[in-house]
Parts: sequence; C-alpha cells; structure tokens
Amino acid sequence: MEKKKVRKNDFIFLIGIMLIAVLCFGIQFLTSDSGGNLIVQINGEKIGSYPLDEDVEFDINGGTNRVKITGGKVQMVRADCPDQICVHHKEISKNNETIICLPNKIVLSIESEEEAEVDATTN
Amino acid sequence: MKKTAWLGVFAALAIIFGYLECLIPFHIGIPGVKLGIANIITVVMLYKTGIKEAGIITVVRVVVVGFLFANAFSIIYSLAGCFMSLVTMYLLKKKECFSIYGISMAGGVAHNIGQLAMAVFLLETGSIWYYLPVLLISGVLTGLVIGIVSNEMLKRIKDFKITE
Repeated sequence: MEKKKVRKNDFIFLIGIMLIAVLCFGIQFLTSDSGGNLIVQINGEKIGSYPLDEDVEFDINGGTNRVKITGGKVQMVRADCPDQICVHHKEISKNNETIICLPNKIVLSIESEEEAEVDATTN
Repeated sequence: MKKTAWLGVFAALAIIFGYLECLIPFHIGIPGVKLGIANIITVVMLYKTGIKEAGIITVVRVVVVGFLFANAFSIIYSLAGCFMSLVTMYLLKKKECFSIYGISMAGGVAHNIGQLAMAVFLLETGSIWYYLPVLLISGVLTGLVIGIVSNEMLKRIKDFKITE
C-alpha cells in the first residue's frame, strides 16, 4: 500500500522542523544573557518584581505557591496543584526563561532591567 | 465486526493508553513534553475509519482520562492539542503528499502548537513561546514514534472488516 512507504516529503518535513527549532534555539541563545529580575505574573497581571542577586523565599498567590531565589536561580519549591509540573521544572536564571503553574495561572519569568536602556543607546 | 463494537474497543484501548501515560513519570523540566501513546489510536482510527470516528474516540478518551487521572486543566490543553492535531492530519492525508510517518509527525507538531497556543491564551502571556523549539522537536520525534507504531498496528488489523 502506498501510505506505508516513507516519502521524500516526510524527510523534508522532519529536517524542516528541526531547522526551525535549531533556529529558535539560536535566537534565544543569542538574545539571552544572565537575567535581571524575576517577574511574577498571576492571571496575566504583573504582581511583583524581584532582583535575582538576593537569596529569598516567599509565598505567592495567597500561599498556593512558594518561590525560592538562590544564587541567581529561581525555583518553584511548592505548589498546591496535583500535577506539580512547575515544581519539577528546572531552575531558571536567564532572560525570557519561564516557570509556569497552569492550574493557578502563575507565570514566573526573568526579564532584563537593562533591556530598555540598551535599546535606547544602540538606536 | 460491527462499528459500535469497534468504537467501544478502541475507546477502551485509548483510555488504557492514556492511563499508561500517567503511570510513566517523565519529567524533563519542560511541561508539555510527553510521548502521547494514546494518540496511536487517533492515527489508527483516522486511517481505518475516518476523521469523524477518530475525533469522537479522541474526545471521549481525553475527557475520561482527564477526569480519572489528571485534572480539568489538562483536559482543556489536551483538547486544544488534539483538535489541531486531528485537523492537520486529516487535511494532509487528503492532500496525499505525506506517508503515515509524515502525517503523524505533523500531527505531533500541531498538537504541541495547539497546546502552547491555548496556554498563551489562558495565561495571557507571550513569554511561554520560549518553549516552542523544545516542543517542535518533541512533537516531531514523538510523532514519528507514534507513526511507526500506528503503521505496525494498521498492518496487523488489516483484515478486520468494519460493518455498519
């Protein structure tokens, strides 16, 4: 049957997706440097910004989640949701990296504070 | 075999696959990356019966597995992914430019893009597009695996005839 045979298009698709992914990685790698601030968003609303060079641990969203900053790295240490995906997530430390808790609609992301200034000077 | 019996058997199989998936602890630090073995049934149904039956079985599986073993949020994300995936595979199959492997790979990628788009919509943040490259690669690779397994399964159930 024809459908069982591997076609040339299959390979083109596979290679194409891989190339796009590598390109995205490249762009992310080039545009990221060690981060400035941790931004905490709940329900799409920014509720706080924390510097990464200070080691702290605090509760957010009325205690449903607990965030820990150590040595410039951010980690979700506790969440009350059943899936625990954000707790298993690797530590984040670079710009644009994120940890997301879907059930509680919490987004932790790292943003550079210098970005705006750099843009202004390079223009 | 009658179609009703067929759909029942496949729905049961899809739910078992979904349960198996929940049993495998598979955390690589990026949410959304998983094997998706239950999608084997979706691909097999798409080839064996058609988009309508494949869609029904997929929705039943996602809702049942979601309520039994996961949570309501996982259902929303899974449905978004499955819808994108099924529509993509159906259209590509109609165009006949890919084999089952290519179609399954495109389905895997579309599934992950659908889930990501739903997450962007629900969380109202664009920052999670950061996951896109990882999800593209995982989608295409798991899609390939699913395609290979589905093809083997289709070969073995070739002689099964479905009657109304």
